[in-house]
Amino acid sequence: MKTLTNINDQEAQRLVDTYADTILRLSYTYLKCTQDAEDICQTVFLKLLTGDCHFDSPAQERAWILRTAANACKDELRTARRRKNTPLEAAAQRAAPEAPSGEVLAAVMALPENYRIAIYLHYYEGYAVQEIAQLLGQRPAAVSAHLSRGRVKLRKMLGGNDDESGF
Amino acid sequence: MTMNQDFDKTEYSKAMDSLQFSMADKQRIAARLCRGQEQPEEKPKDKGKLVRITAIAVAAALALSVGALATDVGKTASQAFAGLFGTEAAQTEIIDRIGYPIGASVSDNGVTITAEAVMGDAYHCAVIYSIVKEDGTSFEVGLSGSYLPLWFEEQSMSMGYVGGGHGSSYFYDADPTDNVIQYVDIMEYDGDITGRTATAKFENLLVWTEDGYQTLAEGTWKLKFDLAFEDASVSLPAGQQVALNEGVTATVDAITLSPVALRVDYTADAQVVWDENSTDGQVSAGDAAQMRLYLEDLTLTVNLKDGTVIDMTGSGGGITPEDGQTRCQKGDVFDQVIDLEQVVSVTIGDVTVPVNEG
Repeated sequence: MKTLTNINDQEAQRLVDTYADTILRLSYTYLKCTQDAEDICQTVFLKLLTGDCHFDSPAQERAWILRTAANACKDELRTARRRKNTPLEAAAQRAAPEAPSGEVLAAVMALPENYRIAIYLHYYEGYAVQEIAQLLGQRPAAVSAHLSRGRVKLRKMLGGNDDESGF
Repeated sequence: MTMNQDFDKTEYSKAMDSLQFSMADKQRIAARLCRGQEQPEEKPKDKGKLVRITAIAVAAALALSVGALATDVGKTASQAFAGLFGTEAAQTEIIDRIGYPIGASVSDNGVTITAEAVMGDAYHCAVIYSIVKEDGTSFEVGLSGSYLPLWFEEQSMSMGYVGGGHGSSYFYDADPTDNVIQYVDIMEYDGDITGRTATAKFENLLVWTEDGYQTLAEGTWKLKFDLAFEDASVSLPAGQQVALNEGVTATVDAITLSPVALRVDYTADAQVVWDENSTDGQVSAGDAAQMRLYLEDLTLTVNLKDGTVIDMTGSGGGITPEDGQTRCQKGDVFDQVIDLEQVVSVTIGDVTVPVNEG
């Protein structure tokens, strides 16, 4: 196991360049704010750099990063709920990348957590239902349902009809 | 919007594409990783939560000898902590033994903030700050009472990588006849904080009024000080089986007791099941039940020789699901400093762990 003091500079820079924005987007999707993204990045990267992680392909590494970041976001949500004095609204006072705007994004962000995570991973990251299920530790049927219901809700919110075809 | 009847994933992707760290942010993250030790600052805490009624009642009854414009560099730890932990001889002796007077001040825009003293143990610390206007006038808070409706627009305390943390902070007025107000920051961390150097940052002092928050003092204050208090904590024997509700059993991994705090680490033999449909920022009934099961309902008391029972059941903590189990930690800083010689036992759920046997 690597120690915290002999982390390879180039490897650290590669991870940040490759995945920091991905973690930012995923954590924004989970947490609805960007203030915690840097913390999540540190958690994920340190875990990879100090752990005994070996990946057969870049795709495998990316999936590990997303899965670990998703778990860190869930932990953050749980802990924030429990911490006596660290609510999400207080965290929002921290400096952080500006959250993007847009009607469609706002609608996605208004969806329940499971729906918007499934939509992010499917439509932005390009993962198939089965892959999302593996990544999140959920049943494929559940992921499929989240995507389907999310789409229906989005259409209603964005003024379309309830027809699911053509997506 | 280009959307017709369907969700426009192009617009969604464009919006997501625009969400990026700046180059400076990325350089900072990479540099932090390379340094290895340093972690992001602790998150600001909710300054509005008032959680220590007992402590502040003591604070209201006490009058610290703090003169106008004094920065109190010469204060002892017990003097600085009098408003928080009391002034009984038994308390002050312990505080002066394990507490650490700091006396570090910084001024900005006519307001001086002084880190008066720090006390704690391996996982906890309490820092007392005084805040005073350099022109000798008082802060026009406009309200009486022990807790002051004040707020730092931004406040943080970082000390390198110590994992997560939780805690409380609040303002109080130890002596309404002077122009000094006090701010206390109490934290519990996942990792060992002993011997670390803390950097505390504050920005813009606000006051709550009927019209909302108003700026009371504009400025940025940054203080650096060593957590040089004595860690007087002791580890009690662990490994006990504790019955939680609903047939769940927990194994006690560690019990850390100090004159200022108690912390218990334990692992439950079932994995917490969070409500996947709960809304962000709100605790669903299902999640609330899980928190009660794994954390809140577990009784924690410190039992003293004179029969006093210090109930720590309401302490904060953390819950982490892991491989079919749930790792938990629960603990908090006491409302008063205790003499470990006076502790008979610690009760965790249905198990009582003896202390000072014989």
